[in-house]
Amino acid sequence: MILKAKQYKSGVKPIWCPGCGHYSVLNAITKAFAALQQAPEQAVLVSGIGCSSRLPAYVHSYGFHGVHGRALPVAAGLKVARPELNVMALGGDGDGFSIGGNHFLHACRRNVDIVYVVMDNEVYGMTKGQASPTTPENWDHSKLTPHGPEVRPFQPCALALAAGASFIARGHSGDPNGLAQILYEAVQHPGFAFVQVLSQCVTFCPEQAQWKEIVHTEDVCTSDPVAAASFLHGDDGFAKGIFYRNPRPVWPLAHERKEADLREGFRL
Amino acid sequence: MSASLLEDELLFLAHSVALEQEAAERLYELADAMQVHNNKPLHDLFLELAGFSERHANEVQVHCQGKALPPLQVWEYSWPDEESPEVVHYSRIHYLMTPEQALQVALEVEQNALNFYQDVAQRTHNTALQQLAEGFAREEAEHVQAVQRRLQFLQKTGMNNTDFDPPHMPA
Repeated sequence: MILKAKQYKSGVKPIWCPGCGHYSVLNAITKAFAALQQAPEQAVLVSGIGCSSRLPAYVHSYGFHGVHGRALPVAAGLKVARPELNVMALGGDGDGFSIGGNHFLHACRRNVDIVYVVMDNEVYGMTKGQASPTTPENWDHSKLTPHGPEVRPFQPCALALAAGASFIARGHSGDPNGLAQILYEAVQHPGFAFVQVLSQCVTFCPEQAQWKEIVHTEDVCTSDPVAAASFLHGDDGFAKGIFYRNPRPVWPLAHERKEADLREGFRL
Repeated sequence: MSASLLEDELLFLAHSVALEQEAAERLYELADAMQVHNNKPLHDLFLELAGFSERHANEVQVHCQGKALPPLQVWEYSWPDEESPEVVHYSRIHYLMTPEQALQVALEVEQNALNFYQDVAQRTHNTALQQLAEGFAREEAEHVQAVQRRLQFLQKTGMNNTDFDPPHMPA
Protein backbone atom coordinates (compact mmCIF):
# COMPACT_ATOMS: atom_id res chain seq x y z
CA MET A 1 0.00 0.00 0.00
CA ILE A 2 1.32 3.42 -0.93
CA LEU A 3 1.17 5.84 1.99
CA LYS A 4 0.11 9.43 1.32
CA ALA A 5 1.48 12.41 3.21
CA LYS A 6 -1.64 12.88 5.31
CA GLN A 7 -1.40 9.27 6.48
CA TYR A 8 1.83 10.19 8.27
CA LYS A 9 -0.11 12.60 10.49
CA SER A 10 -1.29 11.37 13.86
CA GLY A 11 -4.82 12.15 15.00
CA VAL A 12 -3.54 14.78 17.43
CA LYS A 13 -4.44 18.33 16.43
CA PRO A 14 -1.53 20.78 16.73
CA ILE A 15 -1.94 23.55 19.27
CA TRP A 16 0.40 25.96 17.48
CA CYS A 17 -0.98 29.41 16.76
CA PRO A 18 -2.93 29.49 13.48
CA GLY A 19 -0.49 30.75 10.84
CA CYS A 20 2.59 29.37 12.63
CA GLY A 21 5.32 28.23 10.27
CA HIS A 22 5.67 24.95 12.12
CA TYR A 23 2.51 23.63 10.42
CA SER A 24 4.41 23.93 7.19
CA VAL A 25 7.39 22.02 8.59
CA LEU A 26 5.04 19.28 9.77
CA ASN A 27 3.60 19.07 6.26
CA ALA A 28 7.07 19.02 4.71
CA ILE A 29 8.13 16.14 6.95
CA THR A 30 5.03 14.09 6.11
CA LYS A 31 5.51 14.85 2.41
CA ALA A 32 9.17 13.78 2.58
CA PHE A 33 8.17 10.58 4.39
CA ALA A 34 5.57 9.90 1.70
CA ALA A 35 8.17 10.45 -1.03
CA LEU A 36 10.49 8.02 0.77
CA GLN A 37 7.60 5.66 1.64
CA GLN A 38 9.10 5.66 5.11
CA ALA A 39 7.74 2.84 7.27
CA PRO A 40 6.18 4.63 10.28
CA GLU A 41 7.42 1.98 12.69
CA GLN A 42 11.00 2.54 11.48
CA ALA A 43 11.01 6.32 12.03
CA VAL A 44 11.63 8.12 15.31
CA LEU A 45 11.28 11.85 15.88
CA VAL A 46 13.12 13.17 18.92
CA SER A 47 12.60 16.70 20.20
CA GLY A 48 13.56 19.02 23.02
CA ILE A 49 11.30 21.66 24.52
CA GLY A 50 9.50 24.54 22.87
CA CYS A 51 6.67 25.16 20.43
CA SER A 52 8.43 23.32 17.61
CA SER A 53 9.35 20.41 19.87
CA ARG A 54 5.69 19.43 20.02
CA LEU A 55 6.00 18.14 16.47
CA PRO A 56 6.64 14.42 17.20
CA ALA A 57 3.15 14.14 18.68
CA TYR A 58 1.65 15.13 15.37
CA VAL A 59 3.43 12.54 13.25
CA HIS A 60 2.41 8.90 12.86
CA SER A 61 5.74 7.38 13.90
CA TYR A 62 7.61 6.81 17.13
CA GLY A 63 8.43 9.99 19.00
CA PHE A 64 10.24 11.21 22.09
CA HIS A 65 9.48 14.66 23.50
CA GLY A 66 12.60 15.03 25.57
CA VAL A 67 14.51 17.43 27.72
CA HIS A 68 15.24 21.09 26.90
CA GLY A 69 18.23 21.28 24.55
CA ARG A 70 18.89 17.55 24.73
CA ALA A 71 17.20 16.25 21.58
CA LEU A 72 20.54 15.59 19.90
CA PRO A 73 22.19 13.34 22.53
CA VAL A 74 18.98 11.34 22.85
CA ALA A 75 18.68 11.01 19.07
CA ALA A 76 22.35 10.12 18.67
CA GLY A 77 22.16 7.52 21.42
CA LEU A 78 19.09 5.99 19.85
CA LYS A 79 20.72 5.81 16.43
CA VAL A 80 23.85 4.18 17.84
CA ALA A 81 21.79 1.61 19.73
CA ARG A 82 19.30 1.01 16.89
CA PRO A 83 21.09 1.84 13.63
CA GLU A 84 18.28 0.37 11.53
CA LEU A 85 15.93 3.19 12.61
CA ASN A 86 15.55 6.46 10.75
CA VAL A 87 16.12 9.08 13.46
CA MET A 88 15.23 12.75 13.11
CA ALA A 89 15.89 15.29 15.85
CA LEU A 90 13.78 18.44 15.95
CA GLY A 91 13.60 21.66 17.89
CA GLY A 92 13.72 25.41 17.85
CA ASP A 93 16.49 27.98 17.78
CA GLY A 94 16.53 28.48 21.55
CA ASP A 95 16.47 24.76 22.27
CA GLY A 96 19.13 23.97 19.69
CA PHE A 97 21.53 26.90 19.79
CA SER A 98 21.31 28.13 23.38
CA ILE A 99 20.33 25.42 25.85
CA GLY A 100 21.55 22.71 23.49
CA GLY A 101 24.30 24.69 21.77
CA ASN A 102 27.12 22.49 22.91
CA HIS A 103 25.32 19.33 21.81
CA PHE A 104 24.84 20.91 18.38
CA LEU A 105 28.59 21.46 17.91
CA HIS A 106 29.52 17.96 18.95
CA ALA A 107 26.74 16.32 16.95
CA CYS A 108 28.12 18.05 13.85
CA ARG A 109 31.63 16.87 14.74
CA ARG A 110 30.62 13.31 15.55
CA ASN A 111 28.62 12.79 12.33
CA VAL A 112 26.10 10.27 13.64
CA ASP A 113 23.66 9.36 10.85
CA ILE A 114 20.69 11.49 11.93
CA VAL A 115 18.79 14.50 10.58
CA TYR A 116 18.52 17.61 12.74
CA VAL A 117 15.76 20.07 11.84
CA VAL A 118 15.82 23.41 13.62
CA MET A 119 12.66 25.48 13.22
CA ASP A 120 14.21 28.91 13.55
CA ASN A 121 11.78 31.75 14.28
CA GLU A 122 14.41 33.88 16.03
CA VAL A 123 12.39 33.99 19.24
CA TYR A 124 11.36 32.03 22.31
CA GLY A 125 7.69 31.75 21.40
CA MET A 126 6.43 29.38 24.06
CA THR A 127 7.59 31.69 26.86
CA LYS A 128 5.99 34.74 25.22
CA GLY A 129 8.59 36.25 22.96
CA GLN A 130 12.08 36.67 24.38
CA ALA A 131 15.22 37.07 22.27
CA SER A 132 16.94 33.83 21.23
CA PRO A 133 20.46 33.17 19.89
CA THR A 134 19.32 33.93 16.33
CA THR A 135 17.35 37.10 17.10
CA PRO A 136 18.57 40.11 15.09
CA GLU A 137 20.63 42.41 17.30
CA ASN A 138 18.23 45.34 16.86
CA TRP A 139 14.97 43.42 17.44
CA ASP A 140 13.30 45.55 20.11
CA HIS A 141 9.90 43.83 20.34
CA SER A 142 10.47 42.34 23.77
CA LYS A 143 10.26 44.28 27.00
CA LEU A 144 13.21 42.24 28.27
CA THR A 145 15.46 43.63 25.53
CA PRO A 146 13.97 47.06 24.80
CA HIS A 147 16.98 48.07 22.68
CA GLY A 148 17.30 44.63 21.08
CA PRO A 149 19.71 41.90 22.20
CA GLU A 150 22.59 44.13 20.97
CA VAL A 151 24.70 41.08 20.16
CA ARG A 152 25.31 39.42 16.84
CA PRO A 153 22.95 36.54 16.09
CA PHE A 154 24.25 32.99 15.69
CA GLN A 155 25.00 31.86 12.13
CA PRO A 156 23.79 28.25 12.40
CA CYS A 157 24.84 27.03 8.95
CA ALA A 158 28.34 28.52 9.20
CA LEU A 159 28.70 27.02 12.66
CA ALA A 160 27.57 23.63 11.41
CA LEU A 161 30.19 23.75 8.65
CA ALA A 162 32.97 24.77 11.02
CA ALA A 163 31.97 22.03 13.46
CA GLY A 164 32.03 19.32 10.79
CA ALA A 165 28.44 18.70 9.66
CA SER A 166 28.45 16.77 6.40
CA PHE A 167 25.10 18.05 5.06
CA ILE A 168 23.93 21.63 5.53
CA ALA A 169 20.74 23.14 4.15
CA ARG A 170 18.18 25.84 4.79
CA GLY A 171 14.48 25.81 3.99
CA HIS A 172 11.57 28.16 4.50
CA SER A 173 8.14 27.48 5.96
CA GLY A 174 6.63 29.45 3.08
CA ASP A 175 7.82 26.71 0.74
CA PRO A 176 6.79 23.35 2.24
CA ASN A 177 7.29 21.54 -1.06
CA GLY A 178 10.85 22.80 -1.43
CA LEU A 179 11.49 21.94 2.21
CA ALA A 180 10.11 18.44 1.63
CA GLN A 181 12.70 17.97 -1.12
CA ILE A 182 15.50 19.14 1.19
CA LEU A 183 14.32 16.74 3.91
CA TYR A 184 14.04 13.93 1.35
CA GLU A 185 17.71 14.47 0.53
CA ALA A 186 18.72 14.96 4.17
CA VAL A 187 17.17 11.67 5.27
CA GLN A 188 19.09 9.80 2.58
CA HIS A 189 22.39 11.49 3.42
CA PRO A 190 24.72 9.16 5.34
CA GLY A 191 25.83 11.23 8.32
CA PHE A 192 24.71 14.26 10.30
CA ALA A 193 22.35 16.35 8.18
CA PHE A 194 21.56 19.80 9.50
CA VAL A 195 18.50 21.62 8.14
CA GLN A 196 17.74 25.13 9.35
CA VAL A 197 14.16 26.14 8.60
CA LEU A 198 13.09 29.77 8.65
CA SER A 199 9.73 29.19 10.32
CA GLN A 200 7.75 32.30 11.08
CA CYS A 201 6.26 33.13 14.46
CA VAL A 202 3.05 34.97 13.59
CA THR A 203 2.35 35.98 17.16
CA PHE A 204 5.59 37.47 18.46
CA CYS A 205 7.34 38.29 15.17
CA PRO A 206 4.50 39.11 12.76
CA GLU A 207 7.01 40.96 10.59
CA GLN A 208 8.37 37.54 9.57
CA ALA A 209 5.41 37.22 7.19
CA GLN A 210 7.64 39.35 4.93
CA TRP A 211 10.20 36.54 4.75
CA LYS A 212 8.26 35.16 1.82
CA GLU A 213 9.30 38.21 -0.18
CA ILE A 214 13.01 38.12 0.70
CA VAL A 215 13.88 34.41 0.87
CA HIS A 216 15.72 33.38 -2.27
CA THR A 217 16.81 30.04 -3.72
CA GLU A 218 20.53 29.48 -4.17
CA ASP A 219 21.82 26.58 -6.25
CA VAL A 220 25.26 26.43 -4.66
CA CYS A 221 25.51 22.89 -3.33
CA THR A 222 29.15 21.91 -3.04
CA SER A 223 31.31 19.24 -1.45
CA ASP A 224 34.15 21.73 -1.06
CA PRO A 225 34.23 23.14 2.49
CA VAL A 226 36.19 26.19 1.36
CA ALA A 227 33.59 27.07 -1.27
CA ALA A 228 30.79 26.44 1.25
CA ALA A 229 32.53 28.63 3.84
CA SER A 230 32.95 31.38 1.28
CA PHE A 231 29.25 31.25 0.41
CA LEU A 232 28.07 31.10 4.02
CA HIS A 233 30.35 33.98 5.01
CA GLY A 234 28.53 36.23 2.57
CA ASP A 235 25.11 34.70 3.21
CA ASP A 236 22.35 37.16 4.13
CA GLY A 237 20.54 34.48 6.14
CA PHE A 238 17.67 34.22 3.67
CA ALA A 239 19.19 31.94 1.05
CA LYS A 240 17.54 28.53 0.84
CA GLY A 241 18.70 25.29 -0.66
CA ILE A 242 21.28 22.61 0.04
CA PHE A 243 24.56 24.40 0.62
CA TYR A 244 26.98 21.60 1.47
CA ARG A 245 27.02 17.85 1.06
CA ASN A 246 30.21 15.93 1.68
CA PRO A 247 29.74 12.38 3.02
CA ARG A 248 32.44 11.22 5.41
CA PRO A 249 32.72 8.26 7.79
CA VAL A 250 29.72 7.98 10.07
CA TRP A 251 30.18 7.54 13.81
CA PRO A 252 30.38 5.01 15.36
CA LEU A 253 32.91 3.48 12.97
CA ALA A 254 32.50 -0.20 12.09
CA HIS A 255 35.08 -1.53 14.58
CA GLU A 256 33.56 0.55 17.40
CA ARG A 257 30.11 -0.78 16.59
CA LYS A 258 31.36 -4.31 17.03
CA GLU A 259 32.76 -3.51 20.45
CA ALA A 260 29.72 -1.57 21.58
CA ASP A 261 27.35 -4.44 22.22
CA LEU A 262 24.92 -2.75 24.56
CA ARG A 263 23.27 -5.96 25.70
CA GLU A 264 26.66 -7.30 26.73
CA GLY A 265 27.55 -4.10 28.53
CA PHE A 266 24.32 -3.96 30.50
CA ARG A 267 24.11 -7.66 31.39
CA LEU A 268 23.61 -8.09 35.12
CA MET B 1 4.59 27.04 -15.56
CA SER B 2 6.35 24.33 -17.59
CA ALA B 3 5.78 23.87 -21.32
CA SER B 4 4.85 20.21 -20.82
CA LEU B 5 2.07 21.16 -18.39
CA LEU B 6 0.55 23.31 -21.13
CA GLU B 7 0.44 20.46 -23.63
CA ASP B 8 0.13 17.21 -21.67
CA GLU B 9 -3.45 16.47 -20.62
CA LEU B 10 -2.48 13.86 -18.01
CA LEU B 11 0.09 16.18 -16.46
CA PHE B 12 -2.51 18.94 -16.33
CA LEU B 13 -5.02 16.61 -14.64
CA ALA B 14 -2.38 15.58 -12.10
CA HIS B 15 -1.87 19.26 -11.30
CA SER B 16 -5.63 19.86 -11.07
CA VAL B 17 -6.12 16.98 -8.63
CA ALA B 18 -3.24 18.18 -6.46
CA LEU B 19 -4.49 21.76 -6.59
CA GLU B 20 -7.94 20.85 -5.29
CA GLN B 21 -6.81 18.25 -2.75
CA GLU B 22 -4.13 20.49 -1.25
CA ALA B 23 -6.61 23.34 -1.00
CA ALA B 24 -9.08 21.14 0.90
CA GLU B 25 -6.38 19.67 3.17
CA ARG B 26 -5.06 23.11 4.10
CA LEU B 27 -8.58 24.38 4.87
CA TYR B 28 -9.29 21.35 7.08
CA GLU B 29 -5.99 22.02 8.84
CA LEU B 30 -6.95 25.65 9.41
CA ALA B 31 -10.37 24.59 10.70
CA ASP B 32 -8.65 22.30 13.21
CA ALA B 33 -6.30 25.10 14.28
CA MET B 34 -9.20 27.46 14.88
CA GLN B 35 -11.10 24.79 16.81
CA VAL B 36 -8.10 24.23 19.08
CA HIS B 37 -8.04 27.99 19.73
CA ASN B 38 -11.76 28.11 20.49
CA ASN B 39 -12.53 30.31 17.50
CA LYS B 40 -15.79 28.62 16.55
CA PRO B 41 -16.92 31.05 13.82
CA LEU B 42 -13.63 30.60 11.97
CA HIS B 43 -13.63 26.84 12.58
CA ASP B 44 -17.10 26.57 11.06
CA LEU B 45 -16.18 28.82 8.14
CA PHE B 46 -12.95 26.98 7.24
CA LEU B 47 -14.74 23.66 7.61
CA GLU B 48 -17.43 24.82 5.20
CA LEU B 49 -14.83 26.08 2.72
CA ALA B 50 -12.90 22.80 3.06
CA GLY B 51 -16.03 20.81 2.25
CA PHE B 52 -16.52 23.03 -0.77
CA SER B 53 -12.96 22.34 -1.97
CA GLU B 54 -13.24 18.64 -1.28
CA ARG B 55 -16.38 18.37 -3.41
CA HIS B 56 -14.56 20.11 -6.21
CA ALA B 57 -11.57 17.77 -5.78
CA ASN B 58 -13.96 14.83 -6.19
CA GLU B 59 -15.41 16.40 -9.33
CA VAL B 60 -11.92 16.73 -10.81
CA GLN B 61 -11.22 13.11 -9.90
CA VAL B 62 -14.13 12.07 -12.12
CA HIS B 63 -12.20 13.40 -15.13
CA CYS B 64 -9.25 11.18 -14.15
CA GLN B 65 -11.06 7.86 -14.03
CA GLY B 66 -9.35 5.22 -16.15
CA LYS B 67 -6.36 7.47 -16.79
CA ALA B 68 -2.85 6.82 -15.51
CA LEU B 69 -1.75 10.16 -14.10
CA PRO B 70 2.00 10.67 -13.84
CA PRO B 71 3.28 10.10 -10.30
CA LEU B 72 4.89 13.35 -9.19
CA GLN B 73 6.75 14.26 -6.04
CA VAL B 74 5.38 17.39 -4.38
CA TRP B 75 8.37 19.44 -5.54
CA GLU B 76 7.95 18.33 -9.16
CA TYR B 77 4.70 20.23 -9.74
CA SER B 78 4.97 23.32 -11.90
CA TRP B 79 3.06 25.98 -9.96
CA PRO B 80 3.20 29.72 -10.59
CA ASP B 81 4.23 30.11 -6.93
CA GLU B 82 5.90 27.86 -4.35
CA GLU B 83 2.62 26.20 -3.37
CA SER B 84 -0.39 25.26 -5.45
CA PRO B 85 -2.54 28.29 -6.33
CA GLU B 86 -5.59 27.50 -4.20
CA VAL B 87 -3.68 26.82 -0.99
CA VAL B 88 -4.04 29.42 1.75
CA HIS B 89 -0.54 30.50 2.79
CA TYR B 90 0.18 30.20 6.50
CA SER B 91 1.53 33.73 6.51
CA ARG B 92 -2.00 35.01 5.79
CA ILE B 93 -3.52 33.39 8.88
CA HIS B 94 -3.68 34.74 12.41
CA TYR B 95 -5.38 33.37 15.47
CA LEU B 96 -7.37 36.59 15.91
CA MET B 97 -8.50 36.91 12.33
CA THR B 98 -12.15 37.65 11.67
CA PRO B 99 -14.54 35.82 9.34
CA GLU B 100 -14.33 38.76 6.96
CA GLN B 101 -10.54 38.50 6.81
CA ALA B 102 -10.81 34.74 6.31
CA LEU B 103 -13.23 35.23 3.42
CA GLN B 104 -10.91 37.79 1.85
CA VAL B 105 -8.11 35.20 1.92
CA ALA B 106 -10.48 32.52 0.55
CA LEU B 107 -11.45 34.90 -2.25
CA GLU B 108 -7.79 35.47 -3.14
CA VAL B 109 -6.99 31.77 -3.42
CA GLU B 110 -10.14 31.03 -5.45
CA GLN B 111 -9.09 33.85 -7.77
CA ASN B 112 -5.58 32.35 -7.97
CA ALA B 113 -7.04 29.00 -9.03
CA LEU B 114 -9.24 30.72 -11.60
CA ASN B 115 -6.20 32.56 -12.99
CA PHE B 116 -4.24 29.30 -13.17
CA TYR B 117 -6.90 27.51 -15.22
CA GLN B 118 -7.52 30.54 -17.43
CA ASP B 119 -3.80 30.87 -18.06
CA VAL B 120 -3.54 27.22 -19.13
CA ALA B 121 -6.65 27.54 -21.35
CA GLN B 122 -5.23 30.60 -23.08
CA ARG B 123 -1.71 29.28 -23.63
CA THR B 124 -2.22 25.63 -24.57
CA HIS B 125 -2.26 24.36 -28.15
CA ASN B 126 -3.97 21.13 -27.10
CA THR B 127 -7.70 21.46 -27.84
CA ALA B 128 -8.83 18.76 -25.40
CA LEU B 129 -6.73 20.28 -22.64
CA GLN B 130 -8.07 23.73 -23.45
CA GLN B 131 -11.66 22.54 -23.06
CA LEU B 132 -10.81 20.86 -19.79
CA ALA B 133 -9.08 23.98 -18.42
CA GLU B 134 -11.96 26.20 -19.52
CA GLY B 135 -14.42 23.92 -17.75
CA PHE B 136 -12.38 24.03 -14.53
CA ALA B 137 -12.06 27.81 -14.89
CA ARG B 138 -15.85 28.14 -15.13
CA GLU B 139 -16.24 26.15 -11.92
CA GLU B 140 -13.64 28.30 -10.18
CA ALA B 141 -15.45 31.42 -11.37
CA GLU B 142 -18.58 30.12 -9.64
CA HIS B 143 -16.56 29.63 -6.46
CA VAL B 144 -15.23 33.18 -6.68
CA GLN B 145 -18.77 34.49 -7.01
CA ALA B 146 -19.99 32.33 -4.11
CA VAL B 147 -17.28 33.66 -1.80
CA GLN B 148 -17.94 37.21 -2.98
CA ARG B 149 -21.65 36.82 -2.14
CA ARG B 150 -20.77 35.48 1.28
CA LEU B 151 -18.39 38.36 1.87
CA GLN B 152 -20.97 40.95 0.82
CA PHE B 153 -23.52 39.40 3.16
CA LEU B 154 -21.05 39.55 6.03
CA GLN B 155 -20.21 43.18 5.29
CA LYS B 156 -23.91 44.10 5.20
CA THR B 157 -24.45 42.56 8.61
CA GLY B 158 -21.91 44.98 10.06
CA MET B 159 -19.04 42.65 11.01
CA ASN B 160 -15.66 44.27 10.46
CA ASN B 161 -11.93 43.76 10.82
CA THR B 162 -11.50 45.32 14.24
CA ASP B 163 -8.96 43.39 16.31
CA PHE B 164 -10.50 43.49 19.78
CA ASP B 165 -7.53 41.84 21.48
CA PRO B 166 -4.26 42.61 19.71
CA PRO B 167 -1.04 40.86 20.80
CA HIS B 168 0.57 42.55 23.81
CA MET B 169 3.64 43.68 21.90
CA PRO B 170 5.03 47.11 20.97
CA ALA B 171 3.84 48.29 17.58
